[in-house]
Amino acid sequence: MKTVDPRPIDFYFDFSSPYAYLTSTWINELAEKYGRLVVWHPIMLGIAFQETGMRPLFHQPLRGPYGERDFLRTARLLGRQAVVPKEFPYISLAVSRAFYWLEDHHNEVIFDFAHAVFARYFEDGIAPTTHEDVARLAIQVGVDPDKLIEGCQDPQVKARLKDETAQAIEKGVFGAPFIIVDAEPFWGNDRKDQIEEWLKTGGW
Amino acid sequence: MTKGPIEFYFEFGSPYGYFAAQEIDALGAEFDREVLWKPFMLGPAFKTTGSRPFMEVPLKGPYCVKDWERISAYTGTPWHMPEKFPAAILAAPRGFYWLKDQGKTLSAHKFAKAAYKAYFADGRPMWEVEETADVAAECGIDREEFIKAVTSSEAKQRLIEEGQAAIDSGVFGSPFIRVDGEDFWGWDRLPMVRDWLKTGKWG
Repeated sequence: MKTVDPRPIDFYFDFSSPYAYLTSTWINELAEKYGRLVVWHPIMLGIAFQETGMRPLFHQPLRGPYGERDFLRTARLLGRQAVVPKEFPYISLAVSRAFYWLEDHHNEVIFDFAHAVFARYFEDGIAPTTHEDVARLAIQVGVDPDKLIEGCQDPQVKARLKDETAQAIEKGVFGAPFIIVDAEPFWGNDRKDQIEEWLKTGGW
Repeated sequence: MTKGPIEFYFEFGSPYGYFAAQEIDALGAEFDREVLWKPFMLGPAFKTTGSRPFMEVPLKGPYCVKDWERISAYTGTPWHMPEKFPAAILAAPRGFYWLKDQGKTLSAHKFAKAAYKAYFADGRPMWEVEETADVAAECGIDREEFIKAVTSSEAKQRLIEEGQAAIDSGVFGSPFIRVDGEDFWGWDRLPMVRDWLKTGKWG
């Protein structure tokens, strides 16, 4: 068996970030190639935006239309289905809390769950914001839907998401996807080549 | 059939534009495409999009400073954080169009590369007309004529019009690369531009 490097790669994202969706399709595979694991950190990017004064890309004049076109063509390049959801962005509170509850109780399904959340929004175009949405996702990954809904309301889980977001901002995270490899920060799906080079060489 | 040009929009005070400028001509040569260099002022574009210079954005500013050093080491391009940044670099783009309008495209490109290097590698105060004229003179351009040209109202107007035309066509950042109507924003998109030149559209 291959030994796994104990230093995790940290992957920060908001479930409503288009480019984070794209990164979610390759990050684990890339890490595995170099014997590394990835810790996924869903956060509420809106809180970081309050800090920086930035806005979601698709909402900015000129940049918005560019971003939509770029998102769709980059998805094509990666061989992925993608739509630009009508409701953008969405408050990813419920699914982010569900993720952290699953991490503590059903760790084996967290990646399946995250992929299902991203697919619901960026393939089906539907923002999973309600308890019914969370239940549907739970069934999809084989988890008791009632327990997951209950878990989302656990004060500890709520606090966890707040802490994760605050810690991310403290580490300098201001956008999504944001990937930290051995203390080296990389912002954006388009930094894949540099991340790979960093993993390969240990930095330059 | 003649293939269309690569339009390379950039701002002389943009670090990512500087890094892209080191690679863009080789990319054009590889795919037998002419590269049209199009300097413009990013300030008015930022007003349109509501963006702010990197350095003013909390968290993002320090990230970018680190990123430029890292790109320099990654690509082997010399880099030295300018003493004043951001700065209004006006004489260089005005001089560029003045040269280009006289049909001196090669000279304009040579000067553009020298101006970028002076600001981002050699720490020279390129926000000053006199210093920019020195760089022009080092490129074999007449120093006095250069100063006269870049301080003329025609040169100022020319640059404003280029910038407005760029914004009207959808340009909002630097570097911004347009190939066959397809737009790419950012130094980190050069590999995608290359792939596009190679294969045409994807999927």
